[in-house]
Amino acid sequence: MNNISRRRRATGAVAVTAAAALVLSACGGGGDNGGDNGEAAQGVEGGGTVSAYNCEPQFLVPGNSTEVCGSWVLDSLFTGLVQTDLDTNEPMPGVAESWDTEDNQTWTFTLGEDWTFHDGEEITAQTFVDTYNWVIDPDNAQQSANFFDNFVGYQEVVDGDAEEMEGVRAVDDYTLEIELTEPFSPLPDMLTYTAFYPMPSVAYEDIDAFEQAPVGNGRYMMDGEWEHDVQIAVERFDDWAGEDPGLPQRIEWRMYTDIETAYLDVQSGNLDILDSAPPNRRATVESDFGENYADFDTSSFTYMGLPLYQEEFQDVDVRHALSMAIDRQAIIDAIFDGAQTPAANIIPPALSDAGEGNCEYCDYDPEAAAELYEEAGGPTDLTIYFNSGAGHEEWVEAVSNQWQQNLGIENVTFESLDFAQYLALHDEQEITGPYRLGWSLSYPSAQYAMEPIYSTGASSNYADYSNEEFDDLINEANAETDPDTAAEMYTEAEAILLEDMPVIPMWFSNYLVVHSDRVDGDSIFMDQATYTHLEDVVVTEE
Amino acid sequence: MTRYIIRRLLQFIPVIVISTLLVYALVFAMPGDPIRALAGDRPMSDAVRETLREQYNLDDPFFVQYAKYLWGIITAGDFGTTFNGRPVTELITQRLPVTATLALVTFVIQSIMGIIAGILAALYRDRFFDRFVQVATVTMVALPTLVIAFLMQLVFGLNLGLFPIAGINDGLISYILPALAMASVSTGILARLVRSELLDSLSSDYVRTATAKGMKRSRVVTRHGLRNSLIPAVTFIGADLASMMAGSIVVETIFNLPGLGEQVYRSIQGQEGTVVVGIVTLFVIFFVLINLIVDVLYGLLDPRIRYE
Repeated sequence: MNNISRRRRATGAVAVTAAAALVLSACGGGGDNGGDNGEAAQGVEGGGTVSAYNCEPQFLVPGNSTEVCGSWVLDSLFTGLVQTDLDTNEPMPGVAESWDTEDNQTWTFTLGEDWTFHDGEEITAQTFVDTYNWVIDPDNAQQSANFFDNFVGYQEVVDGDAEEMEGVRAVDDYTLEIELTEPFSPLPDMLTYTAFYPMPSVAYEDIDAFEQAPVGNGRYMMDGEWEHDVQIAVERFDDWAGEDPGLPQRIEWRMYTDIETAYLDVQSGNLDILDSAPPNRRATVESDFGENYADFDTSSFTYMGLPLYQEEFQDVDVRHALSMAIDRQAIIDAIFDGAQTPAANIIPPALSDAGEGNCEYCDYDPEAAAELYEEAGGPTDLTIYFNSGAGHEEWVEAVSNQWQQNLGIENVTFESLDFAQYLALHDEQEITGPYRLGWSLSYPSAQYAMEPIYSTGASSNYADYSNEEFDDLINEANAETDPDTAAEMYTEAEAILLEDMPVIPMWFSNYLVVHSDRVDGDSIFMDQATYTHLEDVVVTEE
Repeated sequence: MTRYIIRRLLQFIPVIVISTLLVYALVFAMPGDPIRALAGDRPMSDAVRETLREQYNLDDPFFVQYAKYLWGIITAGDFGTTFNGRPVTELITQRLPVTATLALVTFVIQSIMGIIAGILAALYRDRFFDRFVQVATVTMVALPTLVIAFLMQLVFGLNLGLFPIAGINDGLISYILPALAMASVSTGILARLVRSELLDSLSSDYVRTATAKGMKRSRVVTRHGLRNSLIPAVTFIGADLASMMAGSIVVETIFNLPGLGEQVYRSIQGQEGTVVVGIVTLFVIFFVLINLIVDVLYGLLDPRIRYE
């Protein structure tokens, strides 16, 4: 059994014993401040209430939620077929007790028999069949519909030629079969994603009403309705069929528009947890919070893309030179107060088997960069693109300064655009210079860190990168039945990317989490996808 | 008087039509696809995108979109929905009380503080209180609302713990700090305005005559001085109340009040044309109404002002 589960068990008891305290301090979950190591964290009777900062969700329907604010709430309200083991990032049972496949293409899931929704409706294989078909129906305009595009029969439903996907079948009440168009080894990982949560029949009757108070099958159930821009409150669902029920009796997400305000609210004790404290507060966080803060590495990846459809960037030496001319650590220290980890990878380090960066051209080497750039005849004028109003101005400017200094680039023009406008330029391939973009993992898989951005013709391949060898490796890894061999292949594919450098890796974000005195800091855990697991939080005072 | 008010009310119609058309056109002119931005970094399938564009009439030419929007309002009272499917009317009815309460508390604070400070400063001209008001008001006017809001949060919210820092969970008391921040500049201006107006009228001939005739000082000040000097003050307060809607954007965001101002800001960013038009229309109606009330109040303060 993994640490997280043990932790939940141990602290689920009313009074925490000394033994449990050892477990608690042993798995601080990535937090690097000492906290109160060794002392027993006394949880309040019943679990208490924890409040956390959140932004206003766009949507609260699983198939429609693509951003963190909504998915975070849905994560507590729903449990998918598969869950992620937070210690290993491996898939572990959710509603499905086990699964099996021989060829990575046809998968059989055996469901647990005692799962119900919060309203008592039983969950069977048919529940998933109905949900998945509803999500991809174009009439329902669910934003995550395209996560199903490798299911057999997806295209037919989208084109209006079929009512239901052929590839999702209820063999009997508790056996679900999923058939894919191609072998895809990360399927269990993918099924942990929000889009694949089951929905009860009441949802289809009036989806708008459902969205105001979603009825799920997760550890927590809605208490009242979604109070827009104010709060969402949930209570522990005591009939949850999973192994580790949530610790707090109640979770309240409070919506803030301004993070600075939330920061002050935690400082004054009105709010318990802010999981994304503003980076500029890093300098004062210790004087503001003492030991009540922690840092977490995440998979949130920032890169400088290069439009390979433009002639100037087709020479790989130009791309290498641009990368080597950036002193990532200096920028991180100067602008982010150290709050990022320089990237020497494409696959987030926590997932990568290699662990250490194997990017030859990510090290700062201005002399070599200058030489290489001149030999390759890199452009002397650059237009650099980024989306405005999202805090990218400073660091993009710093990167451009370093390029000017180190590579003899004479003119730099900035194109800063609204996000909507920015994306439109990408869609129409009208970007003429380096551009800023980011990627975070919806589910923990090396495949998801690469395939959507770098495979030929992939949906987020804005660089227009194409390498047959890379495509083949990804396909082979997806088809590989031995997970270790697959992992090796993904790492090989990553090496190709780091050599070809269609994008310049910049950094992986760190998140600064601050909390009040009412909760035990050692029980706060943020996973790779930047979700803070409120269900694990030990509330020490009412 | 009644005819005057009716005529003024009729003038509202073209004002509202033109202003909504303008706002709608401005939002429409913003480049980029709002549906595309909805999904963020992650791409949306074409089928979904098409369904949504159709649902929000985004593929229609501008005037068709506007006509459909107006038609919805006229025939069904339907002000449209946000891109997340929330009816705009629901959004407005939920948020209006917050902004209205904020405006009201601000209005009360600045009227009372501004007028009293102005009167006292004029009556005790060049004494300590007057000097104090002069310095304090200059500071209040000079400091941006943003700075004052943060100071209020830090001092009264965090350090002294007297008021909540954010949200509306504590009822009326939640509005005190934001209202103080929002009232600051206007209180300063108002105090200075009342002071100079009152000093002006106190040194005028009719006041001197009244004093010479032996009228009591308090009566001279209230009957002759104040009444005349309040007209500019009422004009100012009226204009200020009307523009308060706009000012609420900053304050509501900082103090995390779920009001209309904050929503407008967010909707402009999300290119939510229908929401922006709905709320701005409300602002416009409010603005013209306040102006009408101010004009009517003139007549009550000074019977010589007639309505034609």
